[in-house]
Amino acid sequence: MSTAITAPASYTARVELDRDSDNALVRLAREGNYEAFEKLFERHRQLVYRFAYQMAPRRDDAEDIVQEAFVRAYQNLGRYRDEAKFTTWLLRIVTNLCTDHARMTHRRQVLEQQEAGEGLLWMTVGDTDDPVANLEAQRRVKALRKALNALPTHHRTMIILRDIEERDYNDIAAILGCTVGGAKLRVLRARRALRDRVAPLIGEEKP
Amino acid sequence: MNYRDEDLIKLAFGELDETEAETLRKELAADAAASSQIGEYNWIKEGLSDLRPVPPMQYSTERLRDAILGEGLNVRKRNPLALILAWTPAGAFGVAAVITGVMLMRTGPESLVPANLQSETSLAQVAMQMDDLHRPLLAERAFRTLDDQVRASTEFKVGFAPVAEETAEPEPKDASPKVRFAAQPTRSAPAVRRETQRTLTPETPAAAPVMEVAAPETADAATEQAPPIVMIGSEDDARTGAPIATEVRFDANVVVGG
Repeated sequence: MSTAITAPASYTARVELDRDSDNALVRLAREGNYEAFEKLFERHRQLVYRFAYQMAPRRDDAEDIVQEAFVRAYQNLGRYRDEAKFTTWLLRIVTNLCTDHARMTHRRQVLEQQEAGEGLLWMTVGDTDDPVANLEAQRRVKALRKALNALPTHHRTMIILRDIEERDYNDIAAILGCTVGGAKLRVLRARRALRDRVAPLIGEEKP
Repeated sequence: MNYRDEDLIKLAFGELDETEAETLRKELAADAAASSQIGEYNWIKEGLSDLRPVPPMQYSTERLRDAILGEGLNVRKRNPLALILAWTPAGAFGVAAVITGVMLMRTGPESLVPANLQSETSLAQVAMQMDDLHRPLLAERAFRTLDDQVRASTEFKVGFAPVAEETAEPEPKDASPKVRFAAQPTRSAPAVRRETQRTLTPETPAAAPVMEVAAPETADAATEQAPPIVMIGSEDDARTGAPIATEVRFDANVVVGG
């Protein structure tokens, strides 16, 4: 009489989950399985795109950054260490790319701001029925976008990571390669800098 | 009341504990300036949340595939050999620096100079070690350096003191105006006078003409009228069995010592 040995359902589920985890996909991609890397891309491309768009608020630029980020990630999968989260590692690549992009396009910054200000009107801000509230929200977005784009890159990165993308301080510290205390301090300084730029506009925008 | 800007920012962005936030809010109720600041930060926080929506991305998986696979890109694997090769030149440089440092500490900077470029003293020593005293040109070359005059004068001072004694014949003062003591350029005139008086015979008048002779400027000038010097070599004459003696015209050619 033979007895079949079956694994418990929870164990099977965990194995399936592990097989589909970022680290498992990275391992497969390292071994040459490109489909595994495409899964990683599908999973995280929105995250990368959102961050890239906030840093370089033009769709074309943001998409170029996304492509470059994933190409670099693919080429450097061998350097990725499993102890860090894959998204953290990916965001570190994107942060560096965005910083480089901001340096290169510094001369075009004024034009970009104008373009971004006009291009943001499509956004679904102020979706209340109150037209006055909608108008105020649109003005605030425009003013904040302008102020954000005028910030130095390191301050802008902190505002986007913490206040727009809502990453926790541990993540930010890992992405930037600093301590949690250092990350908190940088966020604080960035918020102050943003307030200094926005304060003159607040009086105009408030009813 | 002045509140710390940091606390106001934390309160506005919801990063304070509930109890701390409640306490601060109560305190701020009576402070118009701080309340205004909090209002500004709240305005920023709400505005930043409005920035979250982004336009839809049009970048496709196919485009990425083209970008990666179309260009034949591959995953770069960490190659330990490449790492070793990259650090090899730096390591070699470090080892060379350490060896140089040790050499300098042990032997001094002369060890870094090739033997044929080292000082004239060592060249002269080499010539003497070779026992090649029949090659005066080599010795002469050895002494032709910037400070050879000082060296030569020192050598002559020791080696030719008896010669000076022999030449101290009682001569008229103006008959030998060019008798010079090449070996004593650094001595003062009184010192030369005292020494000469000691070496001269008692019959020699105290006012010897030597007193009037100035110290020579160069060794060559000093040796123009020096008596010939006979050097005895190490090789023996075949006929007599005695060492070969050679007459040297100028004493600057002679290496003294060894």
